[in-house]
Amino acid sequence: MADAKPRSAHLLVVDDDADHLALLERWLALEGFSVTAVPSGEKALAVLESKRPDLVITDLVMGGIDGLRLLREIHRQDPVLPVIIVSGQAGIPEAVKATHLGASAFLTKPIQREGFIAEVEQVLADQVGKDAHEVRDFAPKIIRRSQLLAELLDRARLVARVDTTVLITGETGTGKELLAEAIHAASGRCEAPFVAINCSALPEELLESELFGHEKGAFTGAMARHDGLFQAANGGTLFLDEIGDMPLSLQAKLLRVLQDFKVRPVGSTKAFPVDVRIISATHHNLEQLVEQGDFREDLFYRLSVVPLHMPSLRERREDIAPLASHFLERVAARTARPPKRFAPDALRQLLHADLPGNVRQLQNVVEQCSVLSPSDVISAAFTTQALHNRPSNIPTLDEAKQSFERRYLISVLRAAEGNITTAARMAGRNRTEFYKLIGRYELDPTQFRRRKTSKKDHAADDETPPLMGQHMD
Amino acid sequence: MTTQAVIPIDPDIIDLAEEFLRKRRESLPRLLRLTAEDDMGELRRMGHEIKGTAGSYGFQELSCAGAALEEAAAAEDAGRVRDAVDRMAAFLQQVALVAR
Repeated sequence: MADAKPRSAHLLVVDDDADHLALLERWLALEGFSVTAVPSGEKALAVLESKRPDLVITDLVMGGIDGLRLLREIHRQDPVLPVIIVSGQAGIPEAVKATHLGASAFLTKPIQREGFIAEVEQVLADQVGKDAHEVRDFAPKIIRRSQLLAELLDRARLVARVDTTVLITGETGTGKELLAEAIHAASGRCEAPFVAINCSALPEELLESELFGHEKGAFTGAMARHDGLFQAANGGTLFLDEIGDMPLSLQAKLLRVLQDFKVRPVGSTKAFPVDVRIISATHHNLEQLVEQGDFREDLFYRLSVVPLHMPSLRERREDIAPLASHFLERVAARTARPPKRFAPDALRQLLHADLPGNVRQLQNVVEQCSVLSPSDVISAAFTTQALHNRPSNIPTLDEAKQSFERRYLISVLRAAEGNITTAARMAGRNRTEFYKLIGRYELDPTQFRRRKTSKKDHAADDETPPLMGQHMD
Repeated sequence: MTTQAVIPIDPDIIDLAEEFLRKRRESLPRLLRLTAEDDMGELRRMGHEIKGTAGSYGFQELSCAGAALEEAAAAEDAGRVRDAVDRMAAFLQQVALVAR
């Protein structure tokens, strides 16, 4: 026998003809694959309970559970596991049915060794591209298997090249910002910044100065000129998340920017030209907000030149399994340990779970399970617990505290124009503590030094900064 | 009927091929009995299996005989079934393997 270099791929081969099974097993073993060979669909399912192969090769016609039923069962548990069907008939209907059911390949006996191995390698190679989470050219961060999402992404890819405003609708946690980033990355603006802001996270005055910038002295605490996000995103894309929560007064101002592409900072008499593509997103029904008078109709039409709808996770349950394995691998990468996996009943539970918080909730659940499960195979007990733990949209207290603390530090740094002594005094901390705090959030004080500060400006140090502690969302 | 007495076989699987032929020879009496009993359903199934597996091992003649058996049994043609079984028996008696 020829020496074979061992390969990492593990293959499950199913055939009720012992001689044919032995032949396929031998051919694969000669290529260095690790092979489990079983004589029935029932045995195959039993093996799958305990070990996930990288590929299943099954005969079509078998007593008991036949190849097509096995294919369905496998994909119910693990929709991304590739399956090659081997048939004694060259029957077109079986091949079509198998392909329709998601078989990766359909081979007809007699099988030729070279062609068979080539097919196996091809399917495994395709998996590297796919299974490493369906990496494709467009939107590589968005994991998709469902047709629904594939169609949306096709549309988004086309839209990316056209420099038009895009409105992304969809429930919380569906990945609207990921889509916006992907559109930016595939656009002619990809070299320029992608700047994102959540319009619901800031109070009106702060949102206004964040977006449009402000002149020095425009309001209490405006100790320096601030350019604003429109200017920061100049040449690139500005992503306005939760646009439906933008106050009406700012909607008017935003509309003016979209009409003449000039930004007038708060307190300024001059308007500056900007070249920015706007992508906005909302979980609200904007048309309904328009009807209620809470959203400007003219702005709605400006923003939604191309509407894209991110489907909820329950509309694309096929994506749950690949998403779950992606999140497991992410945890594994963070902890430098091999990824855990879900027991079939735990995965089944995830596949059927009510996930109102969508992908974000799934991520939380998967990460929680991965961290808490002492075993490499996560049992249903952990998924049950994680799924019923808490509503997904509410951050944990730690998350909320951190989010507040970061925003607070930014506003203090901005008010102090990046002067640590001043900022630390405002925050009631000593310099060392303050350095530690901003280090924790990777904030760079020099970024807040917009202009040289004159001694006179420090008189403002004693004033209470206007942005403190008011804007917990 | 002419058969190729000596068949060159991939040396990597020659042991499996020998084992396959041994089992086919052992199953000949059963094939003959099924033929005598006119058990067309089982003959068809066996013909189908031999057709596919013999073909994958590289036994073209045996694969063709299996196909003939499957077809004849499906057509419930006892005469052609016997011909197909004879063809298999002749092949199995004459065949010898050499490493390719």
